[in-house]
Amino acid sequence: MLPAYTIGMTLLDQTSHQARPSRDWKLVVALLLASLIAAYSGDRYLLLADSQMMLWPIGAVSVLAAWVLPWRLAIPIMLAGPAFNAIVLDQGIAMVAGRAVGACATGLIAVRLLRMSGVVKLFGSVSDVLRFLAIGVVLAPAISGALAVLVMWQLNGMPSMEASAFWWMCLVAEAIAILLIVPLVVGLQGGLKRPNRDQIISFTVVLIEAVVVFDDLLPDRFAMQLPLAFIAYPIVLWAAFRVSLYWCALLLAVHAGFALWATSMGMGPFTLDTSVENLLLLHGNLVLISCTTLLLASSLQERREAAALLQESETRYRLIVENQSESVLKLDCHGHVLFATPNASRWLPMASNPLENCLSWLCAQADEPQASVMQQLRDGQRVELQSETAGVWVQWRLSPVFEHTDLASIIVVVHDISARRHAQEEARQHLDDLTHLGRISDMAQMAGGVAHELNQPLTAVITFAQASKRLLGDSKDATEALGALDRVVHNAERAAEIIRHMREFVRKAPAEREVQCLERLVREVFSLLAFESRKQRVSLVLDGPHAINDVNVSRVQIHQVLVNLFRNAMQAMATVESGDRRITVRLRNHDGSIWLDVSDTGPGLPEAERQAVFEPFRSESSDGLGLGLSITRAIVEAHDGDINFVDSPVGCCVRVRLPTAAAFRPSRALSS
Amino acid sequence: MTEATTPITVHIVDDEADIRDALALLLNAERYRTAVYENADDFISRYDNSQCAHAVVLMDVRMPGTSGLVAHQTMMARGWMVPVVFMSGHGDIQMAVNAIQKGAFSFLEKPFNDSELLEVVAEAGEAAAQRTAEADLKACAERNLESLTARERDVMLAVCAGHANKIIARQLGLSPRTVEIHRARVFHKFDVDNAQQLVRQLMAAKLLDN
Repeated sequence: MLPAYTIGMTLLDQTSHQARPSRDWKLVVALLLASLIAAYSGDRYLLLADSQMMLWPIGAVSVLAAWVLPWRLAIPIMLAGPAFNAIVLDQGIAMVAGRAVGACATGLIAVRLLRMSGVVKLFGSVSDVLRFLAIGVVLAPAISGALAVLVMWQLNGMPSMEASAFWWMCLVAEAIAILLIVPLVVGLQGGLKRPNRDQIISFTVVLIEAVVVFDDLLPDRFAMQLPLAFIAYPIVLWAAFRVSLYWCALLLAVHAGFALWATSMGMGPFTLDTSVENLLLLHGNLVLISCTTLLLASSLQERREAAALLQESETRYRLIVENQSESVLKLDCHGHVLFATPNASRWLPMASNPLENCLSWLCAQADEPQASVMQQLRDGQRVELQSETAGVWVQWRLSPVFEHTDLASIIVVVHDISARRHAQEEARQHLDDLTHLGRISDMAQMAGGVAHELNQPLTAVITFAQASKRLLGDSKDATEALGALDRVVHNAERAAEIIRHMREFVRKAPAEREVQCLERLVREVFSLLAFESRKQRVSLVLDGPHAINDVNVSRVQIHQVLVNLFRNAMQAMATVESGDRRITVRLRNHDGSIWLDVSDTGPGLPEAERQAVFEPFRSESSDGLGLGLSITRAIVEAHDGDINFVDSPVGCCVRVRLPTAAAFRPSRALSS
Repeated sequence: MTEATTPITVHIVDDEADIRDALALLLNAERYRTAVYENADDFISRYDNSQCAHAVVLMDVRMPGTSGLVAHQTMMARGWMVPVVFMSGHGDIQMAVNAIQKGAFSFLEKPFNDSELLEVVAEAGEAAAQRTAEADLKACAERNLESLTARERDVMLAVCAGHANKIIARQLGLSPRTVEIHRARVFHKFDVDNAQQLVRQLMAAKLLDN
């Protein structure tokens, strides 16, 4: 037992480190002992009548040694068995040499070939097992058997009939050695696990079967009958369905070991004629059953692994598809739903009714003609549709899938774009608000201007009328004229009153002020104007964001200031080459204030015209009243700041000065 | 003290020709003389301050070029005592308050009520006369004061303080006789008959505190 235990432990150790051959002396000793035991037992069960011994235990040990030890150590172990036989049994030199060569060749050739062919990988697939069988059961035994025969023939002058019988025997013996040992060794390298119920049951059943069949437990008439030998097939195959490959190998080894022991002891169904024939028959039988079972087990294992992989990947994809916010649909080429992720029913009222045409419904929702959508899909184009239901915006991205050249199916990815839509909507709304505010300010400014302009002539009218009244004096003839002049004065005064009311009316309530980060305001306006600036190919640059730039302002009013300044700059650059259009905003601290410089790369503004642009009604653009900059100035001044042009090497630079939030003191609100 | 016979000249400064003319017409109808200027600079260069006793200025606040408020400051700097009434189309209360704090006489919002306008102009006219009279008195008293010798000045101050000749003589270390001569000279130079008249004149000219 000791050698087996040591070998087992070493193999387990190897699995945890690496699969390289070991130099552990304990292992060497154990294998040596095993070799001697194999030689002795082979000899012990020697069937004297045929002067033949069981070769395969020695072959098995040498395969084992060649597998786990470097060849320098393995070869002495391989030779130990035959040497022991030669010494103890005093056999002929030719026989011993033949066996020694056979044993060495089996181990070295088989292991070398197996390693080369990559079977080391735990019999992962049917092809692995096939390769193993081809090499381990056919090629290696054939070669090593031939070598052994060659040696014996050379030394002994063996007759050719005997030589071929010996070769066959070698072949079968070595095949069975490899067949039983290698899967066990390889299986052990994969690590030993606690047996589960299935494995224990299978193992027990196979063991019972072996005992019943080979140990002659049955009554006389039933025992030792050849048909019994075939009971092993269904039982071992049944077990192979239930256990893993490694346990299969173990089952086979146990089964074979018992069968060989029993048969060599003259028990079991294979006890027919000469022991050589018996054993050959049994060996052949075992080889076949082992091959079949291993192939079956490996193909089952392969299937199980493939199924597990498939399951895993399926689970993964299902997880991905089902848990994303998008829904995915697959439609057939007519638009009927083939597949839909569970969350798709959110969007599809007809998801429960597979007969309804999803594509028609979709086209109706998105208000697109179905024919043109289908045509685009057939042309291999992706189609994006958008629909809106109760404030929820949904984007449907349709991609065609072709089989050969025909449209086979349509993949639809459904995406809730409400948030994006709302953000866009909000941005547009804000811009509209600003424009509206701008218009109101324009109106207010205009009302102010108009009021002033009208007030002057009205004043003149009233004063003239009053003067006229006084000039006419109290003369009787002028009574009617005086009355008329009274009415003139009265009406003109009413007109003046109306104008004053109008001005009061449009004068806005003071706007709410709060501390704002000027840099953020600039960035907000950049994003508001992103579309406009892209359209006009103007790049917007913010410089010097490290300035202390908290200001106490009305957010919406400063937005308006910035929008006005940037739009002005964009207008100024309309004549410039599109590559050089740039608006740079520079923030700097200066003496308790923040300087916000807006410079463009336009043609600039002559000194003489600079002040004029801040006056109302001076715009040269066709849209708007030209109040933009005057309102801008009004807002900035209401914030206790000022706005001026500063000299700039290129284009035009407007400097807005605002007090920092710390320096700001509450002041009168923005009037007119 | 104003001679009712001397007409008051209203200087109208406004960039709007119709308003100038309308005001002129109205004020002429009320027997005022008028002079019109189309902007502040024109007014500053043409205005003659010698007639300030009978002058009132009606000035628009907003005008192209120099604004009314700036022109007013120039006038103050030059010592022109003429009352200034501002006119504005916008009810800028703040501006009005500022202007009046800085010495403007009054503030009128356009369009004007004629009686209100005339009332303000009349008051301004009186104020002009009064200011001029005060200025004249002061100038006269100052002139008289300057004509005194140092000794006469000392005597005058003592007289104003209400001391008798003897006490003045003792204070100044003079003989009562000399003090009497100085006192007579002071009375002569100030063209007064007694100490009471002297004190009144000095106080009217704001040269003497109680």
